[in-house]
Amino acid sequence: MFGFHSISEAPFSSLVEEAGVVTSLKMPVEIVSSIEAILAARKMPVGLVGSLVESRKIPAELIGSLVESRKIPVEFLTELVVARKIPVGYLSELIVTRKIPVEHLLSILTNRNIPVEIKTDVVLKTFNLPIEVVGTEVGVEGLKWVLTSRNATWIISSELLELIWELDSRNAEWIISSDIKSIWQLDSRDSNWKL
Amino acid sequence: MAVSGADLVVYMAMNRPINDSSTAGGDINSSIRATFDDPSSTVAVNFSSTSALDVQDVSVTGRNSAGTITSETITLSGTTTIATSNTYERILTCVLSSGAAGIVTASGNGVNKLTDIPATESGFCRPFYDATASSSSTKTLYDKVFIKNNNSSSTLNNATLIEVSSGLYSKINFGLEAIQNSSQTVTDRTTAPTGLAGAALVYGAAPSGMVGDELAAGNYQGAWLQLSLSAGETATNSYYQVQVSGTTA
Repeated sequence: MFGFHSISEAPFSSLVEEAGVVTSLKMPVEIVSSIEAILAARKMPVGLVGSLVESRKIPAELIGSLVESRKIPVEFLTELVVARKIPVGYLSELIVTRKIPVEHLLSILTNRNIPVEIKTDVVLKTFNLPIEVVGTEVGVEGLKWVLTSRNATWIISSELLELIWELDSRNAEWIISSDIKSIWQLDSRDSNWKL
Repeated sequence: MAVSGADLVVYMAMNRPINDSSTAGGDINSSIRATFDDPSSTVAVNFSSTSALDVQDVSVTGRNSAGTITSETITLSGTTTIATSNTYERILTCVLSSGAAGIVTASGNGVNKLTDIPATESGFCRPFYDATASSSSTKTLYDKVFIKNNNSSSTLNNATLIEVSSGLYSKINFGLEAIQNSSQTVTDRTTAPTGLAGAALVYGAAPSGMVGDELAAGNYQGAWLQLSLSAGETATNSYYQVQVSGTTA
């Protein structure tokens, strides 16, 4: 009856003016609720929403939906909660749905003088599940190394493992463990291998 | 009695595969928890109980400082502290041969407590045992955990699960089972489970309401974890963090 459809289509500056008019008229809550839908659609600044909520004494339930739909910052929500004396039960729901950080919760509790046992209304528990990832599987092919003798030095390399070992064969005798025997090809032309 | 944080526990499923070919999932194993801390350094693990009746065996499997999986079984000695012979850089599984009579504490050096095994329970376990990436292709693994309300009388209302943005959150998502107290299995952990909650059987990280938006006394909500590994994935020892919230009367 106040032409809200035209408000929703009006330029932003007009909307701000209309909001002031609405406030001064002390309209019923139901009508203010309609206005809030319009405000949400128009992305009205949080400050203006706040002044409207404050002056019109909108019920806590409506503040909640407003907070959800507009993603109002926690700092502002805190002010709103304190100023509006929102019932403790409803505050709990807000805390759960909005994931309010502990610091702000403390501020709210302090300002509202909420009895300590009320905090047990909200259960929040974090779990750490230890999980490991072993990393890339290395195929058997990557362990087949070929050793070739040049002069008195043995060079073993594996690009896959990004390792380069240089073995000095001064005594010309090598001892290799048996499990390596099956996968390494050993050239013993100038050396004595013990397997 | 109102639900407290201590009433909410994350347990493993009955089937805990140690490779990519064994059955995964199943009903809840209310004796094996999925949460514990690793030793702060590579050490022997100490065990002691609050009850002299705890003289059963405990089997420990973990990785040593070289990254090799090693296992052993030792016998508890009641309230006297006993230590493993091996040293462990991380724990994979730790299981008592029977439920604890008292509270069995597993710890590393000094105050480095890994976790408590509560009375009647029998151990703790790491999800995605020995999860190994492929050098040439992507790989997706699934493992199942349960969130259980151990309160004997009260319901957790408005119950939700949400992923916390830390640890391996970018590689893991969760999907809630469409019914609570479910015993769904998959043939192996590379097979995607069906019957998840939500319109498109999606895995996600966003807040997800548990089935019926509540977790009644003694009930448990299954959650499949989806681990996505890229080709040539770098080895990591980390964690996946989730948060359970709700209200209680």
